[in-house]
Amino acid sequence: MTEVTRTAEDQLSLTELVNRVLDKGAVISGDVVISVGGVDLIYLGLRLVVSSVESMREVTSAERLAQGPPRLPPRGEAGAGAGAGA
Amino acid sequence: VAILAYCIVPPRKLPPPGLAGCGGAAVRVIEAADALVCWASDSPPALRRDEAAIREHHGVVASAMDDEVTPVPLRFGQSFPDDDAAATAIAADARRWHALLRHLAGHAEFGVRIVGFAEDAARDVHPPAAESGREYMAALARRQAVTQHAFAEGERIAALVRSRAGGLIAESTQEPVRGSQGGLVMAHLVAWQDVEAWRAAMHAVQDALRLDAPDARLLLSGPWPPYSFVA
Repeated sequence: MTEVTRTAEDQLSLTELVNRVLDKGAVISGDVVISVGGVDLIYLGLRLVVSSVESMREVTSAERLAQGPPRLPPRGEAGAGAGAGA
Repeated sequence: VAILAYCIVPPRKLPPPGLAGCGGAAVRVIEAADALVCWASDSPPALRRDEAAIREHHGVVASAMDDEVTPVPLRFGQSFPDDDAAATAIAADARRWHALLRHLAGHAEFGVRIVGFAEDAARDVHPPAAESGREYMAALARRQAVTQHAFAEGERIAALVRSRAGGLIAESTQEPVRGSQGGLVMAHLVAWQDVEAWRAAMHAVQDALRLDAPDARLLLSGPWPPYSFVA
């Protein structure tokens, strides 16, 4: 995939646009093609972190819940280089 | 043929000739009951879910805006089996659409993003691959403190914004920026005749922040179709 270099201004502009078009706007009663999972795919494609999108937050929360609490090293292994959550 | 819907407008508002929507499909009018129309296009066989498609959607909605008509923007990706299904769905909620069109007429949305005051502090407080539980909890506590400070600072600046421009804002929304860098995102609904005064008020706030909170940034965007005021 080709990496696209963006200026901070471009990225901000895109963030503002994406937040509105995907996360705001009226919903009638049709089928909304972009589901929560779909939003996640879009963001992977954009290679941007737009963390203010509610849907993205929900995806992240759901993934964290699925993973369970962060794993900590057993007692006595602190400093042994066994990274938590690894 | 399945269709994609972009926005709802009064019947007098027609799409400009040659206007294309997602996938390059021609935008046309679907007449719903009770003097409402929807701008829509045939849906591509496989709707792309990328930046280009988002820009195409927004391009259609933005084309519906002028000094007199402010469209009701629809969220990206709403499809219907055919024109009749879309018309029926819109007509079922006609009172809501009419009320929104009346409320939004003559207004545009502007974005105000308040950020910057906690980015440096937040940079090193993500709970990393901690080497002990104590380190992990300490990192969580630092991140929480940074987030709380950022939120409080954002609220303070938002209050300054409201004090300078409150009379120029017909409606507003406010939500925190997700993540530990904090900040606030505001959306203002502003009448066209008040836009210049609103901009001047925002620039005055920016000037005040240079002295008062030099790390803070007040980033403005717009005019936008009123995506944030139609939910």
